[in-house]
Amino acid sequence: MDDELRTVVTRVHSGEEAAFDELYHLTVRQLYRTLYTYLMTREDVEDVVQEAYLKLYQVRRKLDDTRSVPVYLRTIAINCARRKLRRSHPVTAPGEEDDASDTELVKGVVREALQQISPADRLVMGLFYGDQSSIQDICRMTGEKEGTVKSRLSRARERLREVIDHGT
Amino acid sequence: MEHDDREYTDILNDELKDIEPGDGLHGKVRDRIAGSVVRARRRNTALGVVAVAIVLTMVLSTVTPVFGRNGTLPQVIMAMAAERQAQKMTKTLGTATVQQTSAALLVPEATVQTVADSTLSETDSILALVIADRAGRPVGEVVALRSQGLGWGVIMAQLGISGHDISEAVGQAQAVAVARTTDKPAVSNRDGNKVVVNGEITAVFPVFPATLTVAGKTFAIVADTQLKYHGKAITPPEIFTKLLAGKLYATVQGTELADKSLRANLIIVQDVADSTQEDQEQPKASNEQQIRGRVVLVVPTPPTLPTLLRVQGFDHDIVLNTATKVEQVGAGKSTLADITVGQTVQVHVSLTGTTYTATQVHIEDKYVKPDTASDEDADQQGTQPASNEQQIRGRVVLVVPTPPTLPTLLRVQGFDHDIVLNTATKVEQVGAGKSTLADITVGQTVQVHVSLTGTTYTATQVHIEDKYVKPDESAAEDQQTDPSVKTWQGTIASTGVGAGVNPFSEQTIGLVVLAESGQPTFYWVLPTSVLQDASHHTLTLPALQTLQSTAVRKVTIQGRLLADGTVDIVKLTVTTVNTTTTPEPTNPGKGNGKH
Repeated sequence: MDDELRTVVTRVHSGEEAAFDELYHLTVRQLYRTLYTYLMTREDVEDVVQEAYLKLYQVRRKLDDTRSVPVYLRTIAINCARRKLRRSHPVTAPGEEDDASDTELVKGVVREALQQISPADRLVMGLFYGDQSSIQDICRMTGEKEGTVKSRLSRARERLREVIDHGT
Repeated sequence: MEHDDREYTDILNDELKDIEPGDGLHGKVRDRIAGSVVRARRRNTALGVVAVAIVLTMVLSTVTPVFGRNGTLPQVIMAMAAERQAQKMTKTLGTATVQQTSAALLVPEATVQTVADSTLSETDSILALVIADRAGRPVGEVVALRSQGLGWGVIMAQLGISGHDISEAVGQAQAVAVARTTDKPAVSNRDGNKVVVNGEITAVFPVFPATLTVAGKTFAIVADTQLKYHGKAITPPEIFTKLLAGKLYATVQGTELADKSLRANLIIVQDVADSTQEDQEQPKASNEQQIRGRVVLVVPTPPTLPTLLRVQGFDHDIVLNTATKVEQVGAGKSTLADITVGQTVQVHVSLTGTTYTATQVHIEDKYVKPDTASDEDADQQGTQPASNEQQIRGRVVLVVPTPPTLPTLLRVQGFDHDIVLNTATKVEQVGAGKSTLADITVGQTVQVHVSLTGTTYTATQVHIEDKYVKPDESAAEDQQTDPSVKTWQGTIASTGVGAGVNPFSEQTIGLVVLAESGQPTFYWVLPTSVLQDASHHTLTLPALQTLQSTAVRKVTIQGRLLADGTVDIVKLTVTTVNTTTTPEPTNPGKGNGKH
């Protein structure tokens, strides 16, 4: 996967149009899920995905460090998602500490539990458990300090455990 | 913790397993990208079209007067640049008069007046003057073109004037104007209608009627005006050109005319470049020499400024500055202010280029403490002591004693004016030191320091060069040491005066004395003759002349017998006292036995 990604990025960097499609297919699934953890609606996720890949396309000729491309892509996507959240929730979005979020119909206890976690905490949880990103990469992508990231992760975990165990 | 992490990972993956990007998402991404590319291309195309349009317009405007009467685009741009230059010039000139504007722009005053009388704005007026001057066309023609509504670019193109011409002309004018407003007067001296000015050249108007302004004074340069630079002739345009390159100094000797205008007789232009640069340019131009002579001109200045000195026999004016050391006999270290006309000086001069600068001035005339009263008189009359004091030397031909209130009148041979002696006059005599006015007698050789106040010459100091001799002892000494001195006694028969000759001049007065034997002998009264009455009081010549009319006029005469039988009187003593022979009231009766 990593070797394939590196090769594709190299081809994108050299200007091969088809290689960008391959890059898309290699990265979109994980990005989609991460963004869904954060935004919790497919419509928003698709908007953000489109915007993120457009931005990546615009800078494709500058992608020289192949290993950082996935992190860079998610950083772009997270920033786009944050802007989208701000537009959707102009009052509460800046702090992103609201427990509630607009969601589509939630099915199941876990999703209900995720709904009760703040988007920022959900994002960290999605990056850590879903993407298997390291704390350092999460810090880089979110622009937050390590302590903050760990606190969010801990808080999200507790909340998820609490809901799953007690159903509240 | 590890167990928890795996658990949470499983929970999330299990929960999100059906969260997959739809099939259409890739298409949407591609569409989004394609749309962006299209927009970018359209934007670039639009920008390209605009750029091409601008270029085409520029190209087109260079040959087509797209701006109507303002001409083509380059002409409009050139006009804007020219107007900007003219605006700067307008600010520099401010509210300058026609004359000042004329001097700054180097155009005749009449031309400036023509434009000033027109309806043009100040900026347009400047441009009209400059363009007309550069194009060699009447300014009225330029004004007429402007009045037709033509832009300056069009006018300039028609008259063949470039933007560079305007920039150059305005730059030169600004340099002249700025120099005029920032520079300060340096040296100015006036003697009657003669004016000498030394300082920085602040303006030059190089064409007829040419003028040159130094230290705030504008001199007309006429056909007879000599202009020198580095010892060679220089023209006003050349001065102007040099002035543009840097500052210049000049010494101008001129004349104030009846209408108060100034006409330059001699203009000596000097470089003002620093000495280092000057040395580099003319490494062999500098040398030193020593000159000696009488001071014939001093241009006094405030202490910080250079002073001009002219010494008789030296063809160049000498610049005195604060670095010039001055010494005077009897005073040691002195100042530039101590240098006066008439003094004999030794000057060490250093030649740099064509400028002679004094490094040291040694005043050979002994220092005399200034007379306060005389100075005050001079100040009250607004005279300049430096130019009104002089020293004369000669034989005393007349001393008019007056009652004790004084003044006394002194006449010295070779000096056309009578000299007033007053209580402030200091008298010194060789061999006696400090003396009095009464010690001045006819026949002595004296040096007199006189001060002119109005038309009156007043002696501040009289130095009697004749050695002081005690009269009583001197006669004896003469008799003892000079065997030619003999003694006669007799009665004055008459006094003789040479016809048509100054009656008080030496060797024109003689006495005919009858000896007891009745033999008459003629005795000459010399300037050195000692004349005494019976009380050994000094006897004046007028008193001596009256003796012939007195009843008793016996005298004892010591003198030298001459080859023709006459005698030069060394000493004459009246031996018989009569009331009629007592000294006249005008006789001060000094009688101190010196003579």
